[in-house]
Amino acid sequence: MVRNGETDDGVRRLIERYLQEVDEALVGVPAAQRREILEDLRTHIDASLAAAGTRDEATVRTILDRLGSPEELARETRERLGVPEPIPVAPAGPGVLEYAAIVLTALFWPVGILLAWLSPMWRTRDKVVATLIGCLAIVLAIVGLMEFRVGSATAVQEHRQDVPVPMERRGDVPSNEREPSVETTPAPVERASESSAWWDVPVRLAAFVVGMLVLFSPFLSALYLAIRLRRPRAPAPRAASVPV
Amino acid sequence: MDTSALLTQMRRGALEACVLALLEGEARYGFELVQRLGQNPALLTSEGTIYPLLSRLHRERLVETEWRESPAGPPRKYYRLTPRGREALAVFRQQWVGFRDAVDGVLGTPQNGGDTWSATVKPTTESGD
Repeated sequence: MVRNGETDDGVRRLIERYLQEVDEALVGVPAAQRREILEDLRTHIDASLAAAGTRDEATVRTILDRLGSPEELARETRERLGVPEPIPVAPAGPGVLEYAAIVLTALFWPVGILLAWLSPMWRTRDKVVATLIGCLAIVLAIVGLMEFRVGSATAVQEHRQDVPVPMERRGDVPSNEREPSVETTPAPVERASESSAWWDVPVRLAAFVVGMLVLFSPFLSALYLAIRLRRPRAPAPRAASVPV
Repeated sequence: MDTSALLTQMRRGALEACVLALLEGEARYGFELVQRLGQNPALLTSEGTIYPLLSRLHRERLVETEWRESPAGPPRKYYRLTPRGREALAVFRQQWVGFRDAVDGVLGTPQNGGDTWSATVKPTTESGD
């Protein structure tokens, strides 16, 4: 088997594009079956390539040709599985729902992302990614908040330890624990402020970064949706021809 | 009616039985089935169409699947006939003989007398490319 990197890449792209086209043509077929058929086709292609002994582009084209056009496979799948033909009006192009989803994802994320999930104009994978972009920011925010709290709490604790005991309580402390040398030296106080500054800078910086992420993640989420929106596909010219 | 559309119609029911029959003796994997059926273009023109069919047979529990290691390459999904599949195949054979004879009788095409249904389908198609 010749493993020419460049050719191999082109071949893989050819296969991926074919499978993607089949996946898109299978719209309306239950996800589990769709996945199974795509897996089977991939295995078939691999087995055919192994049987052919070469991986050049012509071989792959022949294999894909023999498998059948995506439209034909989709038609046959619907027929076999009893799935009705998709309504051709629906996938005409993005409509109000899609634009509302994008805008609302940026402005009011939960509602926007919900609309995106209702729309057929995004692939499930893209919806998951867009949702994760938003969720990740929320998780980051929670983690960041907790870190911040722990950070400031320890800073406060340190602060308390170093601060000289208040005057009126001093009498309560047993005399053997009270070291006269510690009493009113200013050095510990200075160290306390120093250590709180050492904590504060990175914590605030992290809080700032996390805050920015949380602030912008809906926009990132919306941007991703806008990029991944399915464009209306030009009617496939080969749909009419039935290979014999 | 153009020939390929006609063949598609006729094939749909028959292909299912052919797959069941191929699995009768032993378990086979998808690519193997395609190679067997692909020898006759009347049975399988677009090889990929066997996978939706296998998916349905599996869903209807006429076949069961099993992953097995292959001597070379990735593991293979083997299909095997279930008792239900065996039953369905028997019913199809029974119906097929009557159906074929009835159609042949009406069309005036020569009847393929005798019990040769277990043999492979006669390669008499001129409609292939």
